[in-house]
Amino acid sequence: MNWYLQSGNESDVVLNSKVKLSRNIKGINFTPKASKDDLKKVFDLAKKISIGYGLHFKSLDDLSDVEKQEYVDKGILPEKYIKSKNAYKAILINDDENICIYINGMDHLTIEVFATGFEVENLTNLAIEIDRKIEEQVDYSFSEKYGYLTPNPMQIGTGMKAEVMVHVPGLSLTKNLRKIINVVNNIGLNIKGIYSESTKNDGDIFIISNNQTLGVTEKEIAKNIKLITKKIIDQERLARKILTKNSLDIEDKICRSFGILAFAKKIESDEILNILSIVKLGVDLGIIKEINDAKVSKLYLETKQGNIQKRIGDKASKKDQAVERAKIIKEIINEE
Amino acid sequence: MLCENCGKNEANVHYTQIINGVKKEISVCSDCAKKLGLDEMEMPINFNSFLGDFFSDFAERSLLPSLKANEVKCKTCGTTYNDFINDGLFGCEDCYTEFERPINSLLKNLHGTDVHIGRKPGLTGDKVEETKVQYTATEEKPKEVDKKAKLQAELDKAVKEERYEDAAKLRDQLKEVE
Repeated sequence: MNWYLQSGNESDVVLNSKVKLSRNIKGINFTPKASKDDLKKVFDLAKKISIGYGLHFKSLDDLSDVEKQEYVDKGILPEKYIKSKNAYKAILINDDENICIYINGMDHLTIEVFATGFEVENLTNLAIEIDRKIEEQVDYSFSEKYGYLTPNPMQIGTGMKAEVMVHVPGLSLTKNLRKIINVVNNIGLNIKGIYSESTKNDGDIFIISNNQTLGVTEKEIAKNIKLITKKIIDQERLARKILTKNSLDIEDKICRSFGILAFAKKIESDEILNILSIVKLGVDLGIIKEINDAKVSKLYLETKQGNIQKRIGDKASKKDQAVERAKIIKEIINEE
Repeated sequence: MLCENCGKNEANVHYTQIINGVKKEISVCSDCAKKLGLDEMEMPINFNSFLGDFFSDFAERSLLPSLKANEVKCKTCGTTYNDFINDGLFGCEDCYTEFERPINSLLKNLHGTDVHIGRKPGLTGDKVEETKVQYTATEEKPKEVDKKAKLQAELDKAVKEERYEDAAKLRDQLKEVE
């Protein structure tokens, strides 16, 4: 089963984890300054990479807009990459879609590994293992002093970004989010809402990632993210405990949200996030028994733009999309 | 409120422009916003340009008093000093040697250091070991052979007693056993 539909470690709070390595090839200009020939060189080199894991090479030109949008919805490719005008974009991806290397983004190669739940350290090991295998076939741009070189000086050194996506409705409902955001920022990590660059609260989901890539080891990056995430898990569970002390209010809120989810005839894209946030809380607290964790993941994924476009075409109006979204939700809830 | 452009759909994109104190507001639907090019509007503030400021600050005060800073150019990719100040990106690996001195200062500002201590190519570095962290709420692990039944019973009990936090944990444990 694909990682994004599974249920993982600490999944009542941590939705998924991701580790990313930025790598560039020796002797070829970085993509912001690369000529078409340079990009083609990278493309051809990447095509020859063979490291196992069941990776397939796909040129982005061969994918439809809907397919590309689906990769964005699953969190596998950044929207910026899909929209970038670089020629010779391609991906190396396996069937489980937990490993993806995308080519000619901001860096020549961006190695990404994913898992559901809280798996930062295992993912770091996997990313390094893959990196080492690629290193045997490709000469990376590396400096003894600065480490792995990248066009963006904010990523040099390890070139590593570790991310965890956390769902914190408890902290949000008890109005403690601001505190958490401050603490994370003070520690030198980065926290942001998923659907915007800002810390605006959309569906109570946030991504925590490292800022520093130079002067730290891969191990330290993983450890820092792990420690702070554990703290957030603790605090979120505490907040949920406090909330359930007044159980009628919270149960009412949860059941109302589930009512909208199960019976509404049309649901807009911004509405669904907040409803799913409360419903997921209800599932995690054992208040909603009609659906399970896996179905919640499926609801998150399949109510996104890409899947709706896949079903009714990318020219459908907002209203038709909202109607289709409500239909999809009913199908998933009623699935055996 | 209906879209001011087509008058058919509900307006959900609100655009406010203030130029020389004259305020102009437009409310359109998302389809029209797309047509009018309002949906892909990005903030004109680019974080990368802040990087450039660190860089230029350094240059003005202490670097290259004899050279005009903006004439420094990377021999390999042609990235000039000004290019970096504008977009905050380097063009190739040689830029890091070409602009070494200001880069050291920039990196210290960004990362607190300018020396890499992580993994190197070709070396088999240490594996990242699991960091053990204790939760404040300690979990008790069931020792019974029939773990599953016990967990299920505990889960039911937790739900009944409205200890939902415990219930969530138990649910996760149950899944592992299954």
